[in-house]
Amino acid sequence: MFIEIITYRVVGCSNIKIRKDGSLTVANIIVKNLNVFYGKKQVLKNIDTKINSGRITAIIGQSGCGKSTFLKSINRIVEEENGRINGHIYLDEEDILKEDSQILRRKIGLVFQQPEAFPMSIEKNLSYIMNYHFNYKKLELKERIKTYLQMVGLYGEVKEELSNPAKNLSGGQKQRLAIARCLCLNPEVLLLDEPCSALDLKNTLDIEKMLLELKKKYTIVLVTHNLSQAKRIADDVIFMSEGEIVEEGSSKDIFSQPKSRKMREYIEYMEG
Amino acid sequence: MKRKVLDNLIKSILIFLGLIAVGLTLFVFIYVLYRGRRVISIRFLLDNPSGIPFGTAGGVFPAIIGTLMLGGLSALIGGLLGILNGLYLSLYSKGTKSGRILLHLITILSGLPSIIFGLIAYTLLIYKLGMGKSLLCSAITISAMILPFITIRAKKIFDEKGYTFFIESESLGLSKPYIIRKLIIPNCLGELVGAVSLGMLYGMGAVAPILYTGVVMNAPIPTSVNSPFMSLPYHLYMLANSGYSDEYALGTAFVLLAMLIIIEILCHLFASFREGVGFKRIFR
Amino acid sequence: MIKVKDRVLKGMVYISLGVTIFLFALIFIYLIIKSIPAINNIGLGGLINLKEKWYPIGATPTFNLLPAICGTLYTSFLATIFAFIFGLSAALMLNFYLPEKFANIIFSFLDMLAGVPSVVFGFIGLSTLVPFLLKHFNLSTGQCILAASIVLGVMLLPFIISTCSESIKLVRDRYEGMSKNAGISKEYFIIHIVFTSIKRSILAGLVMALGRAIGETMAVMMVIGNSAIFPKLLGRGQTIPGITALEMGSIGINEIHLSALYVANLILLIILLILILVSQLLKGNDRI
Repeated sequence: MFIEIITYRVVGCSNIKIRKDGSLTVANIIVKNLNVFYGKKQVLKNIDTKINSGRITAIIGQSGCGKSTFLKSINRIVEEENGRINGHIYLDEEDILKEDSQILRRKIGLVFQQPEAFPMSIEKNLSYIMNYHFNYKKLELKERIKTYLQMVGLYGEVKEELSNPAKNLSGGQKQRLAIARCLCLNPEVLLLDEPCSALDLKNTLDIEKMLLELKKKYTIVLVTHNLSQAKRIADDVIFMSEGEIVEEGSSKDIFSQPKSRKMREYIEYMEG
Repeated sequence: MKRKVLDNLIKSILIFLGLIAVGLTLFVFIYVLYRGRRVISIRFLLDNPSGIPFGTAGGVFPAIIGTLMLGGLSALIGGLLGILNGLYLSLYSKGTKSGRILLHLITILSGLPSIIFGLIAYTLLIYKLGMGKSLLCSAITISAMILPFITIRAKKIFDEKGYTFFIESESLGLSKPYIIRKLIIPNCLGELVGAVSLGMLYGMGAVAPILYTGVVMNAPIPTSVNSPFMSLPYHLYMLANSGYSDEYALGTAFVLLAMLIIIEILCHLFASFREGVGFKRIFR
Repeated sequence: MIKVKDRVLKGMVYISLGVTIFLFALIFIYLIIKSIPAINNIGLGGLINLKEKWYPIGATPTFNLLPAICGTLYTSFLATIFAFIFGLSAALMLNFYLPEKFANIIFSFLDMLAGVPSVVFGFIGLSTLVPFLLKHFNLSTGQCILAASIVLGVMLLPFIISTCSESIKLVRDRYEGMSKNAGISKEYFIIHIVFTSIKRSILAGLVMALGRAIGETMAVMMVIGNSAIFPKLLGRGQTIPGITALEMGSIGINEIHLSALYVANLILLIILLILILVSQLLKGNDRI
């Protein structure tokens, strides 16, 4: 009974807000006139877009087009890498650039491209984060670790070796562990930078299945260079080129009738 | 055919010169360790120095302890400050202008001759501040000398074994100090201990900075940081320069080198045990 | 609780930064301030000229630093050249002609040698090299510039060997596969590819080594003879760190003699800064 309640609270809707009209939803991200600089180099130019809650949005484009930077600015980790952000990013009504960066990052989890497992045990990879943000008792902490690992489909594989060093995990397992690390923040938004770039097909499909499951509770944005992946799981697609958004729209529209020449060329190039 | 002759000529010249170079380095160890071993006895290690001229009989025990105390104290001050500086350079100011300027400054400082530290410490600490010749005074001087040395190594360690973890942790909303305490320091501990020990060895062997700030020819084991102390390198310098007792100088050099080697091996062991490799990697 | 500990650590980082900056501002400012009396009283012409001697305790003391400056530079240059010839050969030998395992053991030894205190080198020089020179070169004393240069050269060896090795390894990784396919001999590879591609970085390393050499105190002081005369290869000489270490202990705080020593060390520092600048320029933007 006890376990069930906890699971409900975590997997349930603690991050979901109830709007005035009674609808349940997680936050939308609205980006207005966003410019990002690294030193003198402008990486993102005049980005204006809206990322809808409860859907998977895929950002596609050639490497170096600024898609990773876009993801990193939503989480403001760009600032830690000495980038400058100009403009506005709203999470529903709040301007995240005015918020405390630590509180913000708790709401907006980011999974890096080829994330590292922290040099500690699998358990500690998660408790390290939860101990900072929450005041869980020991038993609850254990339950939560189990829950989050289950959510990313890792628990079954590693339940015997939770106290072993996480560096021994395989690439796909590390990727899922990193997603679990984000989930344990209890975020509203999940940002993923090429979550499947170094994985084989089976691992990729596992992660995609998991994302489709998670999108009910989180706003998910993922950067990918894999067009077929975007087609498979994305609801919305943003196509970027040279730091600007060229085209955006629902996945169906954009792939069936690309409007711009750049987008057509890109699709042709990617599909050989 | 001519090519082949030329090739062989080049090869033999290189090997000839190279062997001399390697031989010279080995000579340093062999000369001291082989010839010095006869002087070593329990008495030499554990007795106070005596004899006329002083130091030609008895042992070097107070000098051993003095050297270790000086090294330990300097490693404590210089090591702590150096690691904290390394944290700042690597994790707080990476890529910023102030970080780059500071790094250049510290690089310059790490090349500063030890005698300049000695000169300034002597006039400033002994004359201006009126501190007596003491262990503390010398330790402060040595700490200042090894501080940039440790800073640069610590920065490198954090860059290599900490930075990616650091950024990823930050993206999860953790604070810098928390990441440093819980992840960075535990993860880099072995290397940090190695870096501080190297700095300590460097400081323990220096004579110029302590020459007029605390070391003396004859003193008991220091009872507080305010007493003067004996040090092995200084003892060796006095014995060798006066030329009274070559034998005792050899013995002192032996003890000094042996301490160096033992501390290095201990560091290697510590590092390899932390990585779970065991004894295999004592030689790289 | 976490917040408190965090604040303590953050405070410590900034305090340590402050201490470091303060400490080194102090060193530079103090060196300059303390040099002023000597420059004012003796004048630069009195501190650096070709006629007078360094004779600080006479009835009319003279403070000519030029012999010591020359001695420092002479010894350091010679030592760097020795170390370069033998060090580069050793680096090539270790990288090309010895089995890797054996070479690694020698590298460990060299690492250890880099940590050997300079008095030990001075002592070995004094008890082996000096008598040897005395016997075979028919000198009045074995303590001379040559002895100091050789001792200093051996001390620089580990640094030079590791610098050369690093560059050689880079070149090997980049080109060796290619040249093996082309059927080039090792020696041809060394002369035509390794030498040309590591020129700059080796030169930068040599300048750094020179910077280390000019600051070396004890080992040089023990075998150079410490006479304030213009340096000759087989004659006694003196270095700036040497006179500082020998004389500072016996001078009162306000004497002009001490101030002259400060000028000497300021000159040492300026030479060092120039060397660092040159080596940074040589390195270009590849590193740091």
